[in-house]
Amino acid sequence: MAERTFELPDLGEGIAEGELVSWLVAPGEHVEEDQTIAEVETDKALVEVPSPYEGTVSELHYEEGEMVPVDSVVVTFDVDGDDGGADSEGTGGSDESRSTTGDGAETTPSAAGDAETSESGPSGGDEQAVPQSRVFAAPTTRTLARELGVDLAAVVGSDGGGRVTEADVREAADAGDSDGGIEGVDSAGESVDASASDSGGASTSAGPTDVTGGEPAVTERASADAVPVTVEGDGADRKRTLAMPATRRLAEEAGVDIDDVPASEERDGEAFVTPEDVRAYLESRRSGDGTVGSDTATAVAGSSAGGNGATAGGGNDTTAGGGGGTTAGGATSGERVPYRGVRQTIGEQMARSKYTAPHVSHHDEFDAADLVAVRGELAEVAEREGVKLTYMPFVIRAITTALQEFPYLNSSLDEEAGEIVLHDEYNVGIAVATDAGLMVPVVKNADRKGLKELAADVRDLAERARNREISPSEMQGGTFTVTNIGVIGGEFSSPIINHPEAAIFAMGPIRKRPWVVDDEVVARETMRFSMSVDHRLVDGADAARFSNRVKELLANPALLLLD
Amino acid sequence: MQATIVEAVNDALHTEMAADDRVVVLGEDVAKSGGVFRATDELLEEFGGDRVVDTPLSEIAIVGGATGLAMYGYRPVAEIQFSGFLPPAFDQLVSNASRIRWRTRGALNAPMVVRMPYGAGVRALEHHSESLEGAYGHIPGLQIVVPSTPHDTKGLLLSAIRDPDPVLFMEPKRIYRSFREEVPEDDYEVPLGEAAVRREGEDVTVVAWGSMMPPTLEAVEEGDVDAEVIDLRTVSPMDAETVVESVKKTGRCVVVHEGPRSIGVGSDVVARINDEALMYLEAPVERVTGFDTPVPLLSMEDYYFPHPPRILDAMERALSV
Repeated sequence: MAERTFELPDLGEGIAEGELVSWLVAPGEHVEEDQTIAEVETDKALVEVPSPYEGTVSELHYEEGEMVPVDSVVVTFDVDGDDGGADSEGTGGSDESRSTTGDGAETTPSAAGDAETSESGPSGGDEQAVPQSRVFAAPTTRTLARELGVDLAAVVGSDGGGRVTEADVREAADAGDSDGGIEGVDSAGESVDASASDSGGASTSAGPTDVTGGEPAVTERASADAVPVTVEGDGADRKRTLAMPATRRLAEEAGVDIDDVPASEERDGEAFVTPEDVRAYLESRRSGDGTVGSDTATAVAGSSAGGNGATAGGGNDTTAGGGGGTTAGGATSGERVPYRGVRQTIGEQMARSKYTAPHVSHHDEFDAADLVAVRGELAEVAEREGVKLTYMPFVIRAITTALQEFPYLNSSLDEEAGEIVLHDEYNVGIAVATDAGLMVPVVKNADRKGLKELAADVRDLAERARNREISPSEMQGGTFTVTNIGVIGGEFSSPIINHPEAAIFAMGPIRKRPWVVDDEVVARETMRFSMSVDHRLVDGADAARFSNRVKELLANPALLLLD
Repeated sequence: MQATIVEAVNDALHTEMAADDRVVVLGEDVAKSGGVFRATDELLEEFGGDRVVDTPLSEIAIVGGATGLAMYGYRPVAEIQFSGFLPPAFDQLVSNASRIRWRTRGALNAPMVVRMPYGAGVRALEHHSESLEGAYGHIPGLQIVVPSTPHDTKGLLLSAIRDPDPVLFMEPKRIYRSFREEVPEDDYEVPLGEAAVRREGEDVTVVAWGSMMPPTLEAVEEGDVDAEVIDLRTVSPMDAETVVESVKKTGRCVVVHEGPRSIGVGSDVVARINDEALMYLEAPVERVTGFDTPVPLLSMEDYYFPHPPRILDAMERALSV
């Protein structure tokens, strides 16, 4: 004899509680399986509650009229012939069953029969295998079980769903062997798991019992996929990299090509980059980098502010490269920097100019001794008035004067109209190296301005360009461009014309060089310069003549005062 | 008052029928018997037989009749006893109710609600356990509302009845009476088309609705996961913005729904994340769903819909990448 509790089953449709309207049995009364023992009323209906066991009611846990929550124990039974216990218990059970059948005399024959057969199967231990302790069997099967004296609760269905078939009942009756039943439990349980995992893919947790079994499987697979492949430095130039979108975004925002990031993992035989890999890569880039980049930036900024000319960099390859270094602000060799923004605009503009205009370059040098002397004198005067006078205003003045004599140097080609436009304005662009890259603000109507005014304009425009405070309109409308490579270094260059202008003038450094004066080689301040012209508009001879005129004016700065 | 979900439905109906005499209730057994789940209890006594109508056993008649009433100025609330019996009235929903505004170029509309209990897990018969919000959500012009709490149920139902267009109101019958919470006795609305953040978290976003909210919250608690749990509340139109913003924060997402996996609402949640938050994803979006089978009967039913262990597994997969 074993004690069994009975919990109020799910009455259907999610009802969580029901009112116990009436008990149809009393303590001490013997009941058969499926006999109605109570009536429970829910919102929906009056539900008859059947007994899941054959046995004796030992205790009723609720009074009539009480609300009973689903899953709470309502009845305790003493169940006959539970073979889970020792023999003595079994004997005791049958004794008690006999005594109870005495109370409920009418049930004696069937009770005796059940007591006999219930020994043939386990009624305990199988509850975990199926979701509910209820037995699922067709009415005809139940009838058969009664006829054959088989305890349905002890039979486990063979159809995988826990449903007991007639064949199961006959088999149980023939076998009379509890082991068979237990094996049935296991195999049924396994087949449930298998079918659930087949249809559900990775979600193998078909029920509470195999959840723990499912988790290690998942972990194992994950670890098998994620084979650590610590491959430092081999990341560069992979053709294919696996990474989650967020990782790709992280890399893109940092300006890193995901194919260059060393992968710490491998998936499906391919390198798999994690966010940590990207961060580590960035960190390795940063260390040992910064100094070079910031030095460059300082050099450019210093020279720009340093007075020798507010302009640095220029429309030529060398300085454009320098500007790129500055732009990246902490770029490191080996790094890939996104090509966009100002850098891309500069590039497109340069390419357009280079591919549109057939460039011809012209280089020359002149004696700048007088220019240095004059500037020295005037700079002192100007400084008292708060103006910093560099060489740039002199160059602009010389150039605007020369341009008026050589109008094709101050022209542009209107390709659509098939006309060369000779400008009657002299707007001189000055190339300025900024942290963002090369910018070319324009000194408007430079021909009408004196040296002081030019100096003030140049200073103002350069400063605002470096601070990114300059408006686009202030960088438009140029007719000729001057750049100063001398502040950084180098003697000559091949400047690229600021499209659609006809020419560009690049100042080289003024310094003492060997120079022939009266057949004697002497140390003399000279300036070297380079020019590029659009050969569609200007021939080499014109370029040379123009440059000669500029030389003449700068070598004899007093001539600049004539006009 | 402390109320269950089904009591909140009843309260909302009482509230709105008292406030607006255009509101009528119709369906099988809604009047004399008070409804199969008592959702329409006492309505007949309070509002009379002209406004609480027992219909013949014909879903076509119920939804078709509601559509006609709505077009002519009433605010019908039709009850389908179980969601599995809605398909006969699919034509009325698709061809009439949901497109009347479009068909008449705005001249007519259908301010109506079709209420129905849905979902598995109650050991019901065949045709009683479907969760087909994905299928109905595909119908343009039809709003699909699925509450998960008593408070939301009343507020959403009041919003649905007052909405100028048809609303399919799917009530999670598995949790009809599984818990009570405070439901204000006064009149309030919970807006349609807005998701609720049930729990804030940083590590993974879990999106669910209706009957899947309790197991989802249970899984989060059991797994001790810092999950952000979003209750869609309205499946269509979907509040994708709330989901997307959350995924942008967490980088990971698990969608839980009871209906079949294929072409389900979960697929659409994933697609919207792909559209708007792909580059924020740290892991593939996981789906925990029912299977592409009819809901099994009785003994196998528990294997069908997502339980906390399955949801927890999915969260762990999302977090393991």
